[in-house]
Amino acid sequence: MEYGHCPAQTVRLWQIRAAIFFAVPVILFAALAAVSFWFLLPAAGFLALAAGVIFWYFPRFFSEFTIRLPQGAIVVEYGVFLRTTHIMPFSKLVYAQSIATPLAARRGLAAMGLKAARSTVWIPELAEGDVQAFIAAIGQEESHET
Amino acid sequence: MKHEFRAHPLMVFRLIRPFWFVLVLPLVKGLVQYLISRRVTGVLGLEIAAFLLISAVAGLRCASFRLLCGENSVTVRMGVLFRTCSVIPLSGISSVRAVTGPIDALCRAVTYQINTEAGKRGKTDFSFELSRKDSELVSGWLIGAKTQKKLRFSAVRVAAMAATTSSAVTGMIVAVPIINKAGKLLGLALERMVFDEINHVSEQTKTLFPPIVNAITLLFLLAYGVSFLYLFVKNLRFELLLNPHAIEVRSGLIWRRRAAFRKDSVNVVKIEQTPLMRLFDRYVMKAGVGGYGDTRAETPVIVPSGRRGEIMLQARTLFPGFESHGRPIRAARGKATRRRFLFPSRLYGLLLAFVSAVTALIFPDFGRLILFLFLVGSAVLVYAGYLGVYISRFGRVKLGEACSFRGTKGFRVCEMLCPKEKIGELKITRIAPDRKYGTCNFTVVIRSEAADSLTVRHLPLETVKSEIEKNFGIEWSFDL
Repeated sequence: MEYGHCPAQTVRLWQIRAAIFFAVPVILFAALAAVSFWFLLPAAGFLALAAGVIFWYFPRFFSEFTIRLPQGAIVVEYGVFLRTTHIMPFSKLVYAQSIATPLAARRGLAAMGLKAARSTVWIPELAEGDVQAFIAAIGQEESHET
Repeated sequence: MKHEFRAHPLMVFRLIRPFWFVLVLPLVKGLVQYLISRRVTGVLGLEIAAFLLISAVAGLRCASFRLLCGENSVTVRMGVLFRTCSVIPLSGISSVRAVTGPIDALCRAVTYQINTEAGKRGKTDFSFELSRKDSELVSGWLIGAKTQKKLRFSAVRVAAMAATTSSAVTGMIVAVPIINKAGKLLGLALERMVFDEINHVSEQTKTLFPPIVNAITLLFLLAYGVSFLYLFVKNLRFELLLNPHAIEVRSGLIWRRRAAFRKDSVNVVKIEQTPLMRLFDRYVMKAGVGGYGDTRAETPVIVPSGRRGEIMLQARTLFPGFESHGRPIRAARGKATRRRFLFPSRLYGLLLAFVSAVTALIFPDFGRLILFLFLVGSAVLVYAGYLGVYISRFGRVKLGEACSFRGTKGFRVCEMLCPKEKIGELKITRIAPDRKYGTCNFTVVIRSEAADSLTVRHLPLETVKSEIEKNFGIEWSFDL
């Protein structure tokens, strides 16, 4: 059984995304402090939340994100507060999709979606080469089955 | 070896379609205004900049599109900044569809759609523009084998299907957005004009019933007419192209649709009869294919209209693996069973009479309207009762390597045929009278995107249990 975690680059990518996401309300509320000093309170709140997410939640989430490849299936385990396990037999897989955003592409990363009837298993950014190899392997697997 | 196909340039217009009403039309309007009066109101400069940006993004996305047909899979790549790459094994493709509209026909393009079982319900998974020549190559590659037999269905049969399957609700669903959009485009209150016209005509017609009844009847007739026209034009020039492994359905006058699917991707064959079809003793045969079409309930029609014998013969010929040879399980014959089938109609009939009488006493001024509604309700309940008696005689379940189920869905008589492995769920429901009579309601859910289901009522529980045990190997170590 093959076993793997997300690369360190993925953690950094999500930290940057979170920083961009939280920067908007923090800057907005900080600017509104010119109107009323009380606006610094939500700005500080967002800043604390951003720090928690960026420096504690994401490193923990991705260090515990596990991808296993037992015979004929993919098992994905994730979650910090709630632990979830997705088991998808390859026989039920309909197609696979890779998505690369500009930030991820610059770091040579791509996310992957495994689509089965009525469900999708999303795997966060992995090295683009690994993703392409995995997706190509699905086509190969199909040819062996048929 | 992989074959690579690029998108047709018409795809740029397809990509900017969501911005058509908010950006493109106001821009055209502004430019026309400028040309006529040399005066511009609004933010034309900003609109031009936004239009150029969106067109550039659409152009880049169109240029980046690649469809790669490999030996075992097909790859769809698109995007410059946000890049997506989807690899679909050939066995995962449930159907492909090529739609040629008037503009497509002018530009020798085709809107090509690839459907799988995994997409969002009622949404095409992959949709793009290809040149007509490429679309034929792709279809040949994905579905394979050349046509061996071609069946054509006459316009009369298509009209019969359209007339008997049209409904006022479909007509409203089709017409209302068109009227709304056309009104916005022309800057006219079109809905108001239509309603005023309906009111005017209904006031001119003198009947026993008040004008509101005439107006509602007229509205329903109009909606039915729209639905008929829509279905007729959509299915005109209906052709069925057959080969040993695949089926291709071609239809449509203005928008020509070509849907192709492999026979093994058909989950269920449905033979349906609407109340109007029942009047003319006609049936329609449809195939349940995963992910097909733009709406949840859309299923490809295989035979638009035919007598039962003809339809069953076609089903046996096209889908030989779908014919069930199992032992039929039916509701017991007799007056008691018939009474149970008629019970809902009788109960609702009594309720309707009671509610109508009470409301007529409280609101005597609305007597004629209440009488009209009572008559309509009674007609519906009489038909439901008739259908109950029919299905008490002919409703049945056959389990085996292939299964078949005959029952009712609303006011339609429906028969479903499918191989055993396509069944997703079998459900047995029992209420208090079922315990007394030793019966159950048996529901089957097909393993497909649309999750087609059918319930057959009042079947003997013990027979159902033994047949499930025999055919599905489920042991009943528990009591129901």
